[in-house]
Amino acid sequence: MALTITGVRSGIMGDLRYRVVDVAFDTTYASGGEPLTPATLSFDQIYFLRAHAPAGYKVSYDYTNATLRAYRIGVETTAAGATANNSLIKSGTSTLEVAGTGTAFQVALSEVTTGTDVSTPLARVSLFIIGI
Amino acid sequence: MALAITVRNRGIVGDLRYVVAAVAFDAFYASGGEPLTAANLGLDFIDLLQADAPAGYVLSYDYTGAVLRAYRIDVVAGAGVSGADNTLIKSATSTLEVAGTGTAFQVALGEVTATNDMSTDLAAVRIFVVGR
Repeated sequence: MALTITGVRSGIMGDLRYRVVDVAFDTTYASGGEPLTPATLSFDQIYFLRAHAPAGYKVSYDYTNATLRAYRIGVETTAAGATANNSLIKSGTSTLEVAGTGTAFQVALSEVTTGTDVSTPLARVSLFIIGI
Repeated sequence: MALAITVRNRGIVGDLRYVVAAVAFDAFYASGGEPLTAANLGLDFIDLLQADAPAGYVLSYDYTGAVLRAYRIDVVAGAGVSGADNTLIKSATSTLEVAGTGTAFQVALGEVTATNDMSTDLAAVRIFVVGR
C-alpha cells in the first residue's frame, strides 16, 4: 500500500538534480504498482529512475502513472490439462522446452499479484533518480 | 528495425556529457538487437547506458555491437517427450520444480526473437546515457 523511503544522498549533476534513496515495499502490493510521485522524492519531474532490485525481482518505474512496479516469473492457473504437446520440460541441454510438437514461445516477467506480501524480498530496493 | 529516439534532456557532468531519452521499439525486433549508436544520441562515445524496461522485460546495451537488446523468458521447441523426471511442476512451496528424479537447472532469459512486434510492450523505454 505504500513505500517507505529512506534518503541516502542527493545533489546536483550538471543542470539536473539527483537522489539516491532506498525504498521498502510493504506487505500488500498495490494494483499497478506502488505510488511514487516526483513530489514524494522532492522533484518537479523525474527524467530517469533506475531501480536495483534484490532477490531475483525486477523493479521498474512507470513514468506515466508514477508507480514503482515489481516483476517476477509468473505461472498462471488454468483449466487446461497437460498433454504431450504443451508440457514444459527440461531439455537434454538444460533449457526450458515445450514437449512434443509444441511450438516455442517467449513471455515477459509478470507483475507481482495485487495483495502479495513483498516486504521481505523487497525490503531494500535502491533507486537512482535524475530530474529537476 | 529501428528505434524512435526522443531526447528529453542533455547536458554536462564534470568532463562527461549525459543524455536522457525515451526510445520506442518498432514492430520488427532486429536480430541481435536494435541499433543505437553514440551518434544517434549526439555523442562521440558511450561510457554507460542504463535502460529502464517496462512490462517485465530486461534490456541491456551491447557496447561492442552498439545495439539495445531485449530479453524475456524463453521456451524453445523440441521433440522431447514429457516424462516423470523432466516435467516442470509447481512444488509444495510454490516454486518451479522438475518432477521425479530430474535434476535442478537454471537458465538465463532469452533474447526476443527476431521480427517480433515490440511496439506495444516497449513503446516507452527511458534511457540514461553518460558519454563524451
